[in-house]
Amino acid sequence: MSTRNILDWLEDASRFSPDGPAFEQPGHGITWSQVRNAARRIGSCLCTLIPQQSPVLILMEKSPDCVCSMLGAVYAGCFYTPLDATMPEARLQLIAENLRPAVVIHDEKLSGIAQRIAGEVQTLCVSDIPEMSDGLLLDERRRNHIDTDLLYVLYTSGSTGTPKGVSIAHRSVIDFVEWACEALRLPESLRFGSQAPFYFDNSVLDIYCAMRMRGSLYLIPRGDFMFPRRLMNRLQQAHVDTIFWVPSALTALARSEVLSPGCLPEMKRVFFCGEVMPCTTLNQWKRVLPAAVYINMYGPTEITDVCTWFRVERDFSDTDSLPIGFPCANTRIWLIDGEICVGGTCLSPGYYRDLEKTAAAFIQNPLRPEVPEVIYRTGDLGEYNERGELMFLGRRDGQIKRSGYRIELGEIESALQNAADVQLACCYYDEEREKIVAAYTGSADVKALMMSLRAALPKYMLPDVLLKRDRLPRTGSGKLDRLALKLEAESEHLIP
Amino acid sequence: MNDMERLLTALAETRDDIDFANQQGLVDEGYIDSLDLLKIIASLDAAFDIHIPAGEIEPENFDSAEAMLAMVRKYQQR
Repeated sequence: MSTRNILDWLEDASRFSPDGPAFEQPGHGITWSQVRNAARRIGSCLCTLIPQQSPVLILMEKSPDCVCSMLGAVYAGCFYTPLDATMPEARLQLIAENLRPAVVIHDEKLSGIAQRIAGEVQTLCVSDIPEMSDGLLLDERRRNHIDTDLLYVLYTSGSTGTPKGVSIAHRSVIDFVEWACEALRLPESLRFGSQAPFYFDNSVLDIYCAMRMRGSLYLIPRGDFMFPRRLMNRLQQAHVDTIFWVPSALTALARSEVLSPGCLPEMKRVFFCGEVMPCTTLNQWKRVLPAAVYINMYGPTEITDVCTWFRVERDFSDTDSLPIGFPCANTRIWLIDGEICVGGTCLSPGYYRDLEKTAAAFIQNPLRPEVPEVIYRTGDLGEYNERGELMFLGRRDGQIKRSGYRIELGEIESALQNAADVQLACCYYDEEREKIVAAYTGSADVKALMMSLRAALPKYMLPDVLLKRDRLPRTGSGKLDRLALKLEAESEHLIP
Repeated sequence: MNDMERLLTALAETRDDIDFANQQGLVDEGYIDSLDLLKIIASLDAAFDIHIPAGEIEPENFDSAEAMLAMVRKYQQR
């Protein structure tokens, strides 16, 4: 029987590799049978509290327990949203307001924040969940499941200041992971080294490909990415053979001089997605690990992690652009007025509790008016090269990528505008200096304003430069003009 | 201004919400993350006219102001 629920993979892994390592972090690891048992226990508890297809907010540090909680929600026929405390509380609050979770699962460490953002909603500390599972309850939920039920809702930056919840169904993840395991030629028992936080959709490939192949996922501590030597030792000691990272993490390691011939002898697969991969970085890695497989992937959260891919099988010079390649299985790409549009099984049904934003981004395919067919407008610009490979050209709007994070400049502007004593705000991204520059008018003091932004925005969204101005430039139509602001800031040498 | 004062001034420019003079465990307890670290390195490089090579960035050198000062002195002597 074909796969209809991602739990089918977990059950296979637990049956055929019960004692094999599943999820591991320094000092703590669990096997596939332990994952299954823990998830069933959590799922059974949830069955007694909330109905099928309810949203479950999981506020936990990235850990094996966190994955078990996510899968526990799935056993209860529900869908999950993983979050952690690296986000400011105000943003967690906005997300909780949109999601309206039926229950908030948390660990002991984040108990305080969990209580505050949950409000009236019930909370469940993962260590308090009873040590028993109820097979009958779980079977009933499973019988009622269909593959278009949601698996998760992940939040991305929204241009109007409110994060958008991208909902994704089991079917899309099943299709994506089956494709990935085959196309990327993943072997059984592979060992991923996980970089992506669970609220970032690159983790979907990490978690579910490890599960599907009965391999394992080593959760690299976030702090290791600050220290190249420590990271390198960790990868070696943990016997990681596959990584799927954002290019900025690969670049940081490549620039650090610790990436040198002979290091990482077990590393076989280097995959990347989330932002443009500079060929200089690719070439540095290829020089050190010439035998590894390198694959560039592309896709926004709305199409289940990845919609195009490119296996690097020829040489590129440092100044070349790397193609994003070809569509994954059951995925079709159209270029409409230069914009990359995507259709197929990978498509999200839309933004959670936001029909308006859904209608703006998920549209009827104008090239096929004969039948209802929804496609997603990515807002990315593309073109085909002479080999027929898709190339990424940039953004149509105010969205930027920084360390792989997707950021709407509008969300930063909105946070500025909501701060005390700010009249108008405008920001732009200085790609050359890798800095977000924000300018505002009003009486707010720069330092105080920065403090209030820290309470509203995740760290990666904070402006690097905050400029207090008497006025902000506008376009002919009266909109704030980011480009003119950039020119002003440059001509006045305001950017350090 | 002595070296410690200069260090604290440079650090205050990167994160003005952390009490660098007294806070220990900056790295191990997660007070600073990778973006902060990049800013701290750039600002120490500039304040002391040194170059901290990326390959030599070790957690223990950034865990407290004292540790950072010891590291800065090491590079000043090179």
